[in-house]
Amino acid sequence: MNASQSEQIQNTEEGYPDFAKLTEMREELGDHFLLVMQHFQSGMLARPQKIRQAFQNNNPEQLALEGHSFKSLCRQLGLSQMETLSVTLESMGRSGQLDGAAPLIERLLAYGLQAHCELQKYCLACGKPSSVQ
Amino acid sequence: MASILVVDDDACSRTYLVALLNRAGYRVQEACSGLEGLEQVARGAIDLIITDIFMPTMDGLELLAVLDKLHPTNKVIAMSGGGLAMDRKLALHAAHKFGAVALIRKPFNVREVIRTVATALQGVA
Repeated sequence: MNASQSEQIQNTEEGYPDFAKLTEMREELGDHFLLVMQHFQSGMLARPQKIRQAFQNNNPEQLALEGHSFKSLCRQLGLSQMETLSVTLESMGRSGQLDGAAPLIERLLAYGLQAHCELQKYCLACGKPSSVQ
Repeated sequence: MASILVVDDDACSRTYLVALLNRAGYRVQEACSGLEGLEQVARGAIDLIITDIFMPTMDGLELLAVLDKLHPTNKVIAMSGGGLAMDRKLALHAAHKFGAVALIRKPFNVREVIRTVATALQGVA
């Protein structure tokens, strides 16, 4: 396997949350679990979009804020590479240096989409349909 | 039943914490900014406020400072994911300086959250 393939696999695998954490959360939250998951799912799509919007608007301060918020969500779900990307983007936003941010944001968007799908599948497997698309 | 106000601009964290506290038997209100939180506190009947530190418009430290002046008897727990702007120790120091009784860390550890809240609410019916 060459470096490119390895990177591709690493990227493909990144959007998978820590399912042990999800199970733990499900036990902790009981009937509230699916409601919380709906927010988490929509966050996986919306928050990277907000980061990209801040970048496109050349607003480093907003980018830092969005990166900071998204970092916590990723950490909660055990999405370590997404957390690292968010931290990096937060740092870039705080420094006002956004050079090189674009590909990181695109990775974050792709991972977010994957994570959204995985959360949705997990919720469906819980026995009730998830309403967030 | 004790009443808790959760203040966080991040809907995901806020919803998670509200669900945890509801399940633990508390009555919970929520606000998405320091200003909105302040409005709810002014209406009364809140035993404990849990506020994020990093928020736009009015952040948690500003909220703590205002609460300290206007509603000094309200108990407050600050929460933070730490991060680049301020590390956990600094956040804790700042939060204590402005009157917070404890700090909750993100991501949430359920046992830590429930224990910290119960300790803060000791003596509240």
